[in-house]
Amino acid sequence: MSWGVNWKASVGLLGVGIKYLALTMLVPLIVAVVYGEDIWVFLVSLAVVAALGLAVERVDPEPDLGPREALLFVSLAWLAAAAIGTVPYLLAGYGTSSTVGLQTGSFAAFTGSIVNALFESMSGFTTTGATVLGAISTDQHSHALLMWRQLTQWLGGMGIIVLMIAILPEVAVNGAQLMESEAPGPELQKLTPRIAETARALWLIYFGFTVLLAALLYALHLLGMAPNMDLYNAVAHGFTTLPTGGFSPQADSIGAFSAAVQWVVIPFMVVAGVNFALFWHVLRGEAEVMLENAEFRVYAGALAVVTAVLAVLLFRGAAPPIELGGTTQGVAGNSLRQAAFQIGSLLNSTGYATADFAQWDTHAQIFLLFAMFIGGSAGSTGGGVKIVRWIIVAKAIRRELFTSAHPDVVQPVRLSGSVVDEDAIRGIMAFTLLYVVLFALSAVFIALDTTRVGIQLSVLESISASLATIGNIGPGFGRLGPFGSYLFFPDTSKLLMIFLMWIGRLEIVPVLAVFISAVDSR
Amino acid sequence: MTDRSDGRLPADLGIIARDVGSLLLMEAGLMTLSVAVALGFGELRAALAFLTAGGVTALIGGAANRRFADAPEPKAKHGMVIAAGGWLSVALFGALPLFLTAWLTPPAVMDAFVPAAADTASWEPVAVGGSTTLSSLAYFRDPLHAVFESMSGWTGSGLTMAVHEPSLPRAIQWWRSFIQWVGGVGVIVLTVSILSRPGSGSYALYRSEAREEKIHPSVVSTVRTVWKLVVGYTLLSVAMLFTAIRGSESAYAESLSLGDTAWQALNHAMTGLTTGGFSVTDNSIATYGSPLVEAALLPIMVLGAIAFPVHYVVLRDRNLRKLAGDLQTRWLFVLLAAGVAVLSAQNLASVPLTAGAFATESFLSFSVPLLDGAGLDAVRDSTFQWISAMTATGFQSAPIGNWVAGAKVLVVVAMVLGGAAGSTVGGIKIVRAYTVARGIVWQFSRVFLPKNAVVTARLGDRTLDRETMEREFGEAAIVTLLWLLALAVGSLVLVNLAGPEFTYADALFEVASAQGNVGLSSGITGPSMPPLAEAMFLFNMWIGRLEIIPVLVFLRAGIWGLNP
Repeated sequence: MSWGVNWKASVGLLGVGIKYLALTMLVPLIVAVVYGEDIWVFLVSLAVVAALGLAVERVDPEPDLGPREALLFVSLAWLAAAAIGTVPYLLAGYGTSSTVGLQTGSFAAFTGSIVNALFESMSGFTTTGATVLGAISTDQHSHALLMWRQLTQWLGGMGIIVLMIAILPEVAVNGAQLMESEAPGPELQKLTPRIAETARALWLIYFGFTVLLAALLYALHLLGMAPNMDLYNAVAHGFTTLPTGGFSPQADSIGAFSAAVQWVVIPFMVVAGVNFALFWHVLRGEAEVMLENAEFRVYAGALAVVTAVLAVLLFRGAAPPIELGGTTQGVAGNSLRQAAFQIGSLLNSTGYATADFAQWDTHAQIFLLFAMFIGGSAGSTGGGVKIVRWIIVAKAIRRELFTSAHPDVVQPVRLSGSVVDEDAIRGIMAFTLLYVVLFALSAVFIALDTTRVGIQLSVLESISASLATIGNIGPGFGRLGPFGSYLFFPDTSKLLMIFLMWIGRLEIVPVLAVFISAVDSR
Repeated sequence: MTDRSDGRLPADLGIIARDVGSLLLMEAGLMTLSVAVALGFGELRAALAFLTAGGVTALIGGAANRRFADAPEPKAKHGMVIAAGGWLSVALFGALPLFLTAWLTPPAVMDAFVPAAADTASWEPVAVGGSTTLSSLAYFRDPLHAVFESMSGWTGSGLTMAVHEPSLPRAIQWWRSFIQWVGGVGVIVLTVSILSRPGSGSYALYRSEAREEKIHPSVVSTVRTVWKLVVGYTLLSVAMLFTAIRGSESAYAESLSLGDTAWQALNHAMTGLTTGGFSVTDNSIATYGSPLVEAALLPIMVLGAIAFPVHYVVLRDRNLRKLAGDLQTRWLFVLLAAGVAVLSAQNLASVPLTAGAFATESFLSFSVPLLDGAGLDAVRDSTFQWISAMTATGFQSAPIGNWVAGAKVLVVVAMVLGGAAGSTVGGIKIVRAYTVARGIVWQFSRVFLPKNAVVTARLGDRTLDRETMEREFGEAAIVTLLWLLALAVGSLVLVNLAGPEFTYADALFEVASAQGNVGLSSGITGPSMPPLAEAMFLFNMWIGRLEIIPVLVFLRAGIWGLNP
């Protein structure tokens, strides 16, 4: 059984990744020490994961990856990260009423708790932000565990593979293959001749924005403009804004903080949806590269238009009068802030909220649903189909109309001035269709699965559950609203959503390619 | 620019106007034919309306035809524009008989069309010309309703503005069925001759499978061949339905006179076979309450969903095996069976959740293990509605509006998918879905291959080289994407327009039904719907029938002309 792939190399390299992932548990460990909380949870987790990594590493100490191995590695890496991420949840919640803690009461409770922990962990690493954590508060969970939850999103944001390429020499050798697999957007340019340097540059920009945001938030606190934004919260939200994550240790998300905090977070969410390579050009003094980028222009334009329309809807009374974050009807400032925040959060798949938009009227909700479909830019941390793909699809359709009337004329599709390869166009068509079909079929499955266990789900709810997970967005509508929870779904639906988050983050291709190649070579 | 014929009008416009003109002339012929039906039933006002409508249509069509008689022969690039423009014009003029009949008939006379036996307690009177009437004919005094009905007929959709069909004059009932029947033949001709350009799946499918057997290349001979098939099948269907209705034990079926039975069998055979879905009974097929009638309709609808070139080959060779040899037919049966199973399971599971959606008493005289009365009814309704949806017929035998969201969404899947290209169904069609699926797998399976590797793809029994596969996948992918995009946008618009009593599931269902030319309704469509939504449905039905691209090419040509 070779499956046409040298799986040992992939798994061996996976061991290296797991080993280093264990080290990141030092962060929650420090938090536990500072707050005087139980340190055993993270000490044990760290030891278990490190031991696992060292053991798996031995499968192939000198991994050498070809294209197939690279795809397999990338697919597995995200699964492994999600699996490892469950360890602290399970341990910390053992013997408590925590929904993600290990339960041993019965077999159903046992599997249920594992599925919940995996859901929360996968939602973290894939920067989705959908949660099954019952009560989100430091009364129910330790500061350390909630910080781990934030940290998983930060690690997943720029891509764990890109991070590994940046700092681990043994991974960097195979860097080019890996990066293409993890971020298969059509516009991946090498910024520097060496791929490890590119990865490092991307992570530095990412890191820089994170530090800046955390510092700004804490500064607001020191200035007295955000009483509850202490250092813990500043770091915690720094961790989940730039990766377009959306987790928050506050049950009310960013709605728990002052308007000043909300205004500061908005530009950072917008930044998170931009292709990070463009910032690299800006830093080198080539700002025109960013301004001439077709995808960036569409992203900025879409944000502006959608925000403006939503602000008008809110101003005219789309939200119920008593609303977290201030009444919007007839209040221009509040309407603009709520619209800008919600669109900044949903358009590029962050998933924060400052208002319970599940309570808004249908017009406004439909509008948000539309925004969710757009997604971030290629090369950003955002999810969804990605703007550049929509641009190319639209251009291909326009060309089809032209060639339908003039079958003999050859007309290439251009993007930002250069011709797009025909094979790339078909690849994008295939991707977009597969994405839409998977999304639709999953919505149907979720609707059927919930009726099976006697839950009546509206179509808007099942559609948003499917879209929010495959697009790595997080919150949906109805019971899945920003302050709602995915806890009530049956395990089968949760497993499907875990799968959707996984393939959504990897943009389907690696998973599918590995699967097809396994079938083909049998 | 050498394309200008006489310095005033582009030659392209002349070609299109002439061909659309001749389509209108044909329609005028159909109207004149229907005068006989009106006279036969003694409906003089309707006869006058049909005669006038025919005259006007003939006048305009004839003028366009004569004026551009010397325009050059149409080329490939004109085909799509003629098809899209033709369908639109025919639908617009087809509204004339409805509109004129409604205006020529005074309210007092309209009341005479309401059947004496009908239970009209729940009917809402329609205000018309200072008084009211119970006849649904009055709705057609609104030109938008008349155009809607005509478009729904010509595109084989079956959504209707006539709330109570039995209260329409016979001539109008006839016209609704007749245009669905003729429109059905039209769409077969459209797909196998005009839309079948290189790169579109249906063309390749029937070219290679039956290179010589392909229904003759020219439109005229295609019409002749299809015509015979359709007439033959229709006669067969009439006989089947007549027997089924006579044999039914339901109170409604037994109350019908011999003439009424024949009339209903004729109309429902015409609209069932061409998967249109207009009915002449008040609650579509649910009116009969008869498992026998439903069972008789199943094979009729399925016949209409099989590609007509396949019918032709099967009948000519008298070999049923050719049926199984056709990719689309094979998948049609697989999807019909699988869908019935899944929808039945879903509806069985939802019986306790939905009060009033299913009957409580068994329709069988013997008991079936595991299924009680409601369960049996759930399976029976699921079977009929799945097949009615997938074949894009739109006959309704159950209150789908009361089903749970999951069941509605499943039916949406059937309506989006549709039956075989080359028949009268709507949706994206099986061959296209299949091409997309194969294409996606093909696209990703080459991830590891060098760019210039020699690769072939298999599509059914055909082996395609790289270029053909790429072209067919590209075409199928674009149409599918556009289809889904139009569905998404349309449903989002509709949920905002429709009242608060309708959920997103209802909106999605209704748009899928209109765009898939199906005709099932969750209750949104009717004379009281918002006019904007009604106008949007006109567009959905139009693009659905023509598979979107021709309409877009038509609109594009309208703005920029046909020259590059």
